[in-house]
Amino acid sequence: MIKSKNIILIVSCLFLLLTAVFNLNGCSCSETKPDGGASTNQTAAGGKSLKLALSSDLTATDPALSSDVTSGQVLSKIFEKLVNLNNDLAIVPELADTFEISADCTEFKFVLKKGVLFSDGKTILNAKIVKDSFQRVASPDTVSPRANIFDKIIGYDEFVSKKSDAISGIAVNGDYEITLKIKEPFAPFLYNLTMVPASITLNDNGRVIGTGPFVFDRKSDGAKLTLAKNHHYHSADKVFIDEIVFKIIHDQMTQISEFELGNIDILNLSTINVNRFVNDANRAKYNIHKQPKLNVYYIAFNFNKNIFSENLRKALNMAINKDELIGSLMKGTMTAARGPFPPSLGAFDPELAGYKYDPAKAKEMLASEKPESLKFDLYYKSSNENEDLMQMIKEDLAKIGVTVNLKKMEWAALKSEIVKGNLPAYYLNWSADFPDAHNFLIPLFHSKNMGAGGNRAFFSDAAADSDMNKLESTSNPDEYKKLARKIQKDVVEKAPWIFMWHEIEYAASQKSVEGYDVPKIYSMENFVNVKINR
Amino acid sequence: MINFLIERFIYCAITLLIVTFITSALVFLIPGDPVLSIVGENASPAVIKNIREKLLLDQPFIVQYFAYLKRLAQFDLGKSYVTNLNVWDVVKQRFPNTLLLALSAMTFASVIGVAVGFFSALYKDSYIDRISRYFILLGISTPVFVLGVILYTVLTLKFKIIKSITGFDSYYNLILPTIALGTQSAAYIARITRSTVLDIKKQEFVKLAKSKGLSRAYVNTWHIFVNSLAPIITVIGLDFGSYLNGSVITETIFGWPGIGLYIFKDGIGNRDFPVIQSMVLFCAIIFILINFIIDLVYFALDPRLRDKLKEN
Repeated sequence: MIKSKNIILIVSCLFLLLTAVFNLNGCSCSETKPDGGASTNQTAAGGKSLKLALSSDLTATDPALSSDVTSGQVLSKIFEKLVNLNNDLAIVPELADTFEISADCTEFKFVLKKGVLFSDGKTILNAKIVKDSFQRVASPDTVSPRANIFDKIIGYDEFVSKKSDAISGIAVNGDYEITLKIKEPFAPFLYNLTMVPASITLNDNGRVIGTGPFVFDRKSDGAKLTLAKNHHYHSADKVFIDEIVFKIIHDQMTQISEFELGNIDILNLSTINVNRFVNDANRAKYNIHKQPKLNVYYIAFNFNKNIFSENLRKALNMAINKDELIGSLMKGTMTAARGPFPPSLGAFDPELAGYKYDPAKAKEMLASEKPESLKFDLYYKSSNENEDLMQMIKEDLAKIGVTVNLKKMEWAALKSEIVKGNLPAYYLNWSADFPDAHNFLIPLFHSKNMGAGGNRAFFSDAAADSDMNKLESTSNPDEYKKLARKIQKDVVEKAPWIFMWHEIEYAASQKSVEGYDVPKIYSMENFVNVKINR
Repeated sequence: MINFLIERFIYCAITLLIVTFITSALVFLIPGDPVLSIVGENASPAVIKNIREKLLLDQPFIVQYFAYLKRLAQFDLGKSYVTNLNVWDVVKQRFPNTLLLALSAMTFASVIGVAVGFFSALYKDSYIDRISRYFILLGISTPVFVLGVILYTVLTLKFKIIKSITGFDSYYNLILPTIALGTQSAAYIARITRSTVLDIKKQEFVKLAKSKGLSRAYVNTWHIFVNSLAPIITVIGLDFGSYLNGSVITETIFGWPGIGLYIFKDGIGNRDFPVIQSMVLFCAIIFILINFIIDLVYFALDPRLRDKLKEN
């Protein structure tokens, strides 16, 4: 017998099942507290809360597993490194009290700060924790995407292949002294230690904790995550914020509206939105911040495809009117590039001429080229910012008789096709992990880094390779700078890219925020000394 | 009834198996490499190799597919490649949000849609009808992303009726996404309701009921409204099913942490295979469940169907 009563019964049972499975208790606003630990860090009622926007959720809560900027931004407030960068981008001790480098640049001795507590309030930082922390990142079981930042240390290979249960090049002397020995001089080694994955962590029953000014209070529920002040932080008197609330808002327009409503305190502005804020009315209402970033935008030519002659590459470099584009379309948020080094980099070479805009000469140079080589596909990531820009580049190139087919692709697909070497030319950018010439040369132009390593042009030049190898082992700062500039000049001469521009980052903050400035590198920012006057 | 249930269950199992195969094959074939999402911009070959081995990505398709089926057989949806979080844990956290928004939007759409459609049909060609038709047209042709922005610009930025666009702290935050998501459905439901009611109004049994001297309200409710419910329920059910699979545009605009964003941004954006596979499967299950419920509701509403099943 089938009656409507039975049917109602079945539907109710299904609903009850759903309720039981998902624990629907009416309010979905329940938030997850990380198990224990953070309870000592409750924010006092009415405490100062800083509200920020994130464009995407975290991919990692453990520094060892972090490789993206969003996670790095959040984790740099929770974890500290042995050394960090100061505002002049010089390396300064953070958890180390002092550090010494041996004359041959292969030994780095760190003396740790004494009495630094982890956020559990019990464990005191010691040299063994530092060693365990580094070994955890290096271990293949952790599957850290940045395990290679320790691969220069003696004994790394034996440790990774499990022939040894410790990295022999990390020596612990007593509680507060640790020495790292590397196989051969490697100039950017200390910079590697300023990166987020090199944070000093403590594994507290499966939970990774740090010594930074903040701790995780509420894990991400997809809409927001909260950090609370770490009351055990060694310089707690310099932290004036009780909690940081990160709101996860994917849409740029919504972020801007929330900022204008006062629901967000600091907002990073994308190129197309800068104009809205950098005008007189808004300048009076908000603080506007500006910071040249350590990055470079470029159009790479795929050397594996062999379709762009050196002559053609140089002519293309002269055909795009970068200053005009920066003025009209980019609203001054970029500086034209002459080579890979941005102006804020120590090794920047003001004397490097680069390629000046000269369409007449470019057209002349193309006279010797075969007509079929003057037509190619240019790929770019699909985004609002890129649409108009690519059209204007196409028009510039058309003026010298080059036909470009614009092809836009979704980022994950584009990246994988580029890394496989399947595409002829593409518009990309590179952001530095640390402020050193090394980071703008070796990943981008050394033949060992072709494809996924960062050398997206598949550029290979024996002389440049050998110079870059030499650069890695150069320890004298003057010689280092000289050699870096020489390599840059040689690379620019070969024109593997069209060198486009370097970004200037803009941010707006509410007038109530004091002491904030856009960090030069995202991993430097920890909101110590930032105040809110509300 | 038991036979009916068993038959449906077998069909569902086969459908789901096909779904797992098609998703896995698609995931394997689409351009994009999950390892590149994990390692960032400057990766060493040794690290990439280690990750590929750990995730079985160096294995042929069939090995990966059976590893996935084996996991499923143990009721394990797997772990995200990128975040290392268990997919089921994320679903448990986010599905209630999606369900809440879907229920809220569907209630809004059903109440408004049925009321507008019903009265518009009852008073055909009157002012009510003409105004309703205009709104139905507007509702159907306004995309969610336009409506969403208009809503928060007017209600939040201009008149400050609602304090915040995003957020998740009170039921107030439900208002904007509910209207944005529900309006198009409301318009569709109104249109279906209107045409169904107009059809039924012309039927002989309605004339008979009226000629028997039954009151107008009684005829409208018990003869016209109840008999027009079946097609309306179909539209409501299908829309509800699609809302339960996440509404990525509404979630993006209002920062609503539902499963739509999880599938598109975390799963597809990063080529996070376990997330894509498990979420497509999950959505398929939800759809099948909803369809099943709609069938049951049909039985409840239509005595003819019940008799037919009894005969078989």
